[in-house]
Amino acid sequence: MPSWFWITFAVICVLSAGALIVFYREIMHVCKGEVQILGDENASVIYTKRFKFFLAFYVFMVVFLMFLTGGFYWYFL
Amino acid sequence: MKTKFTILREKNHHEVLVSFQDHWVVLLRPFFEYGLGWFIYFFLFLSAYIFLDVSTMVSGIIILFSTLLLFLFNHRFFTTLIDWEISTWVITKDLVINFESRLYTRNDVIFISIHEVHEIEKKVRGFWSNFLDYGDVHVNVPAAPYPIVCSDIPHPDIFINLVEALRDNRLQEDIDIQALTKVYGNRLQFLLSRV
Repeated sequence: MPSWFWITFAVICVLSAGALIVFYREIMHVCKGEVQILGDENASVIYTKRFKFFLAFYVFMVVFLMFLTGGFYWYFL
Repeated sequence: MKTKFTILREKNHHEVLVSFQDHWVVLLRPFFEYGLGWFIYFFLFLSAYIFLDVSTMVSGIIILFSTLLLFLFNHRFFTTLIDWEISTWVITKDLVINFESRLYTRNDVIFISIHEVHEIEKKVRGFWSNFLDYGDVHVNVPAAPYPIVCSDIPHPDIFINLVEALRDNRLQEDIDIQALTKVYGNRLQFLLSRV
Protein backbone atom coordinates (compact mmCIF):
# COMPACT_ATOMS: atom_id res chain seq x y z
CA MET A 1 0.00 0.00 0.00
CA PRO A 2 1.42 3.37 -0.91
CA SER A 3 1.86 5.51 2.17
CA TRP A 4 0.63 8.69 0.43
CA PHE A 5 -2.80 7.11 0.08
CA TRP A 6 -3.14 6.38 3.78
CA ILE A 7 -1.77 9.79 4.73
CA THR A 8 -4.31 11.56 2.46
CA PHE A 9 -7.05 9.28 3.69
CA ALA A 10 -6.15 10.11 7.29
CA VAL A 11 -6.24 13.83 6.44
CA ILE A 12 -9.74 13.43 4.97
CA CYS A 13 -10.86 11.54 8.08
CA VAL A 14 -9.41 14.17 10.40
CA LEU A 15 -11.04 16.95 8.37
CA SER A 16 -14.34 15.10 8.49
CA ALA A 17 -14.14 14.56 12.23
CA GLY A 18 -13.13 18.21 12.66
CA ALA A 19 -16.10 19.32 10.58
CA LEU A 20 -18.31 17.14 12.77
CA ILE A 21 -17.05 18.85 15.94
CA VAL A 22 -17.44 22.30 14.42
CA PHE A 23 -20.97 21.52 13.24
CA TYR A 24 -21.85 20.07 16.63
CA ARG A 25 -20.74 23.27 18.34
CA GLU A 26 -22.88 25.31 15.96
CA ILE A 27 -25.88 23.01 16.47
CA MET A 28 -25.59 23.40 20.23
CA HIS A 29 -25.17 27.16 19.85
CA VAL A 30 -28.38 27.41 17.81
CA CYS A 31 -30.29 25.09 20.13
CA LYS A 32 -29.26 26.99 23.24
CA GLY A 33 -30.41 30.21 21.59
CA GLU A 34 -33.79 28.68 20.84
CA VAL A 35 -34.14 27.26 24.35
CA GLN A 36 -33.28 30.65 25.78
CA ILE A 37 -36.18 32.18 23.86
CA LEU A 38 -38.66 29.46 24.83
CA GLY A 39 -37.44 28.98 28.39
CA ASP A 40 -35.77 26.01 30.03
CA GLU A 41 -39.07 24.32 30.81
CA ASN A 42 -39.71 24.03 27.06
CA ALA A 43 -36.29 22.61 26.15
CA SER A 44 -37.90 19.33 25.11
CA VAL A 45 -39.43 21.16 22.14
CA ILE A 46 -35.92 21.59 20.71
CA TYR A 47 -34.03 18.61 22.10
CA THR A 48 -36.39 15.97 20.77
CA LYS A 49 -35.70 12.25 20.53
CA ARG A 50 -35.53 12.54 16.77
CA PHE A 51 -32.95 15.31 17.08
CA LYS A 52 -30.76 13.10 19.29
CA PHE A 53 -31.19 10.22 16.87
CA PHE A 54 -30.07 12.37 13.92
CA LEU A 55 -26.99 13.47 15.83
CA ALA A 56 -26.08 9.93 16.85
CA PHE A 57 -26.62 8.66 13.32
CA TYR A 58 -24.52 11.50 11.94
CA VAL A 59 -21.59 10.53 14.17
CA PHE A 60 -22.08 6.86 13.34
CA MET A 61 -22.07 7.50 9.59
CA VAL A 62 -18.84 9.52 9.68
CA VAL A 63 -17.06 6.73 11.56
CA PHE A 64 -18.69 4.08 9.37
CA LEU A 65 -17.59 5.78 6.16
CA MET A 66 -14.01 5.97 7.40
CA PHE A 67 -13.93 2.24 8.05
CA LEU A 68 -15.85 1.42 4.89
CA THR A 69 -13.45 3.14 2.54
CA GLY A 70 -10.36 2.02 4.44
CA GLY A 71 -11.69 -1.53 4.52
CA PHE A 72 -12.63 -1.53 0.84
CA TYR A 73 -9.21 -0.32 -0.16
CA TRP A 74 -7.41 -2.75 2.12
CA TYR A 75 -9.52 -5.75 1.03
CA PHE A 76 -9.91 -5.23 -2.72
CA LEU A 77 -6.81 -3.32 -3.74
CA MET B 1 -24.41 37.69 33.23
CA LYS B 2 -26.23 34.80 34.84
CA THR B 3 -28.65 37.12 36.64
CA LYS B 4 -29.52 38.99 33.45
CA PHE B 5 -30.38 35.79 31.62
CA THR B 6 -32.45 34.57 34.55
CA ILE B 7 -34.52 37.75 34.49
CA LEU B 8 -34.96 37.56 30.73
CA ARG B 9 -36.21 34.01 30.91
CA GLU B 10 -38.76 34.86 33.52
CA LYS B 11 -40.08 37.74 31.47
CA ASN B 12 -40.12 35.81 28.22
CA HIS B 13 -41.89 32.80 29.58
CA HIS B 14 -43.77 31.10 26.78
CA GLU B 15 -46.32 28.41 27.33
CA VAL B 16 -45.89 26.12 24.36
CA LEU B 17 -49.05 24.52 23.03
CA VAL B 18 -47.82 22.84 19.88
CA SER B 19 -44.50 22.54 18.09
CA PHE B 20 -43.80 21.00 14.73
CA GLN B 21 -41.43 21.11 11.80
CA ASP B 22 -41.97 21.91 8.13
CA HIS B 23 -43.64 19.11 6.22
CA TRP B 24 -41.40 16.07 5.72
CA VAL B 25 -41.73 16.38 1.96
CA VAL B 26 -38.96 19.00 2.02
CA LEU B 27 -36.54 16.21 3.00
CA LEU B 28 -37.16 14.15 -0.13
CA ARG B 29 -34.76 16.10 -2.31
CA PRO B 30 -31.75 15.87 0.09
CA PHE B 31 -32.58 12.20 0.62
CA PHE B 32 -32.35 11.46 -3.10
CA GLU B 33 -29.22 13.56 -3.38
CA TYR B 34 -27.66 11.45 -0.63
CA GLY B 35 -28.63 8.30 -2.52
CA LEU B 36 -27.00 9.77 -5.60
CA GLY B 37 -23.87 10.38 -3.52
CA TRP B 38 -23.71 6.68 -2.59
CA PHE B 39 -24.24 5.71 -6.21
CA ILE B 40 -21.37 7.94 -7.35
CA TYR B 41 -19.19 6.54 -4.55
CA PHE B 42 -19.67 2.92 -5.60
CA PHE B 43 -19.38 3.82 -9.26
CA LEU B 44 -16.04 5.54 -8.70
CA PHE B 45 -14.86 2.69 -6.50
CA LEU B 46 -15.59 0.20 -9.27
CA SER B 47 -13.81 2.49 -11.72
CA ALA B 48 -10.81 2.50 -9.40
CA TYR B 49 -10.82 -1.28 -9.38
CA ILE B 50 -10.77 -1.30 -13.19
CA PHE B 51 -7.97 1.28 -13.28
CA LEU B 52 -5.87 -0.83 -10.92
CA ASP B 53 -4.28 -2.69 -13.81
CA VAL B 54 -3.32 0.60 -15.45
CA SER B 55 -1.95 2.49 -12.47
CA THR B 56 -2.18 2.09 -8.69
CA MET B 57 -1.78 5.81 -8.29
CA VAL B 58 -4.76 6.63 -10.52
CA SER B 59 -7.00 4.16 -8.71
CA GLY B 60 -5.82 5.52 -5.34
CA ILE B 61 -6.65 9.07 -6.38
CA ILE B 62 -10.10 7.99 -7.60
CA ILE B 63 -10.81 6.26 -4.28
CA LEU B 64 -9.72 9.28 -2.29
CA PHE B 65 -11.84 11.55 -4.46
CA SER B 66 -14.88 9.28 -4.06
CA THR B 67 -14.34 9.20 -0.29
CA LEU B 68 -14.12 12.96 -0.09
CA LEU B 69 -17.24 13.27 -2.22
CA LEU B 70 -19.20 10.84 -0.05
CA PHE B 71 -18.15 12.65 3.12
CA LEU B 72 -19.40 15.90 1.61
CA PHE B 73 -22.72 14.31 0.63
CA ASN B 74 -22.96 12.82 4.11
CA HIS B 75 -22.37 16.15 5.83
CA ARG B 76 -24.83 17.89 3.56
CA PHE B 77 -27.53 15.31 4.18
CA PHE B 78 -27.24 15.28 7.94
CA THR B 79 -26.92 19.02 8.30
CA THR B 80 -30.10 19.28 6.22
CA LEU B 81 -31.82 16.82 8.56
CA ILE B 82 -30.69 18.72 11.63
CA ASP B 83 -31.56 22.06 10.04
CA TRP B 84 -35.04 20.69 9.46
CA GLU B 85 -35.33 19.40 13.01
CA ILE B 86 -34.22 22.61 14.71
CA SER B 87 -36.22 24.82 12.35
CA THR B 88 -39.30 24.56 14.48
CA TRP B 89 -42.74 26.10 14.45
CA VAL B 90 -43.93 26.81 17.96
CA ILE B 91 -47.41 27.99 18.86
CA THR B 92 -47.82 29.46 22.31
CA LYS B 93 -50.79 31.15 23.91
CA ASP B 94 -49.82 34.50 22.43
CA LEU B 95 -47.29 33.90 19.68
CA VAL B 96 -46.42 31.88 16.64
CA ILE B 97 -42.65 31.52 16.72
CA ASN B 98 -40.70 30.29 13.73
CA PHE B 99 -37.07 29.26 14.23
CA GLU B 100 -35.57 29.16 10.75
CA SER B 101 -32.04 27.85 11.04
CA ARG B 102 -29.38 26.80 8.56
CA LEU B 103 -26.12 25.97 10.25
CA TYR B 104 -23.63 28.84 9.91
CA THR B 105 -25.70 30.60 7.27
CA ARG B 106 -29.08 31.44 8.74
CA ASN B 107 -30.49 31.92 12.19
CA ASP B 108 -33.84 33.67 11.92
CA VAL B 109 -36.53 33.89 14.54
CA ILE B 110 -39.92 35.24 13.56
CA PHE B 111 -42.49 36.18 16.17
CA ILE B 112 -46.09 36.63 15.08
CA SER B 113 -48.39 37.99 17.74
CA ILE B 114 -51.56 35.97 17.48
CA HIS B 115 -53.76 38.74 18.84
CA GLU B 116 -52.53 41.09 16.10
CA VAL B 117 -53.30 38.72 13.26
CA HIS B 118 -55.62 40.53 10.89
CA GLU B 119 -56.20 38.00 8.12
CA ILE B 120 -54.88 34.54 7.60
CA GLU B 121 -55.11 32.51 4.41
CA LYS B 122 -53.78 29.24 3.11
CA LYS B 123 -52.44 28.47 -0.34
CA VAL B 124 -52.21 24.80 -1.19
CA ARG B 125 -51.22 24.45 -4.81
CA GLY B 126 -50.29 21.41 -6.85
CA PHE B 127 -51.23 17.78 -6.70
CA TRP B 128 -48.71 16.66 -4.07
CA SER B 129 -49.49 19.58 -1.78
CA ASN B 130 -53.16 18.66 -1.80
CA PHE B 131 -52.52 14.94 -1.61
CA LEU B 132 -50.10 15.20 1.32
CA ASP B 133 -51.90 18.13 2.93
CA TYR B 134 -49.25 20.81 3.24
CA GLY B 135 -48.95 24.33 1.94
CA ASP B 136 -48.22 27.97 2.56
CA VAL B 137 -50.04 30.10 5.09
CA HIS B 138 -50.10 33.86 4.57
CA VAL B 139 -50.53 35.88 7.73
CA ASN B 140 -51.50 39.53 7.48
CA VAL B 141 -50.69 41.75 10.42
CA PRO B 142 -51.48 45.49 10.46
CA ALA B 143 -47.88 46.46 11.22
CA ALA B 144 -46.41 44.73 8.17
CA PRO B 145 -46.99 46.02 4.63
CA TYR B 146 -46.71 42.52 3.20
CA PRO B 147 -48.11 39.23 4.49
CA ILE B 148 -45.80 36.96 6.47
CA VAL B 149 -45.48 33.75 4.48
CA CYS B 150 -45.23 30.52 6.45
CA SER B 151 -44.02 27.89 3.98
CA ASP B 152 -44.55 24.13 3.89
CA ILE B 153 -46.88 24.01 6.88
CA PRO B 154 -48.26 20.50 7.53
CA HIS B 155 -52.04 20.43 7.86
CA PRO B 156 -52.57 24.16 7.21
CA ASP B 157 -56.28 23.96 8.07
CA ILE B 158 -55.52 22.83 11.60
CA PHE B 159 -52.82 25.48 11.90
CA ILE B 160 -55.21 28.24 10.83
CA ASN B 161 -58.02 26.97 13.03
CA LEU B 162 -55.76 26.92 16.07
CA VAL B 163 -54.40 30.41 15.44
CA GLU B 164 -57.88 31.79 14.89
CA ALA B 165 -59.23 30.06 17.97
CA LEU B 166 -56.41 31.49 20.07
CA ARG B 167 -56.90 34.94 18.58
CA ASP B 168 -60.62 34.97 19.29
CA ASN B 169 -60.26 33.27 22.69
CA ARG B 170 -62.62 30.49 21.66
CA LEU B 171 -60.45 27.48 22.17
CA GLN B 172 -62.60 24.50 23.06
CA GLU B 173 -60.49 22.33 25.24
CA ASP B 174 -61.87 18.86 24.54
CA ILE B 175 -62.26 19.22 20.79
CA ASP B 176 -58.94 20.93 20.21
CA ILE B 177 -56.93 18.56 22.36
CA GLN B 178 -58.32 15.61 20.42
CA ALA B 179 -57.75 17.28 17.05
CA LEU B 180 -54.20 18.38 17.81
CA THR B 181 -53.20 15.07 19.33
CA LYS B 182 -54.50 13.27 16.28
CA VAL B 183 -52.74 15.55 13.81
CA TYR B 184 -49.46 16.35 15.52
CA GLY B 185 -49.18 13.20 17.65
CA ASN B 186 -46.70 13.31 20.47
CA ARG B 187 -45.50 16.74 19.42
CA LEU B 188 -48.28 18.20 21.50
CA GLN B 189 -46.16 19.48 24.33
CA PHE B 190 -48.60 20.70 26.92
CA LEU B 191 -52.25 20.15 27.55
CA LEU B 192 -54.47 22.99 26.55
CA SER B 193 -56.22 23.06 29.88
CA ARG B 194 -54.13 26.02 30.95
CA VAL B 195 -55.43 28.20 28.11
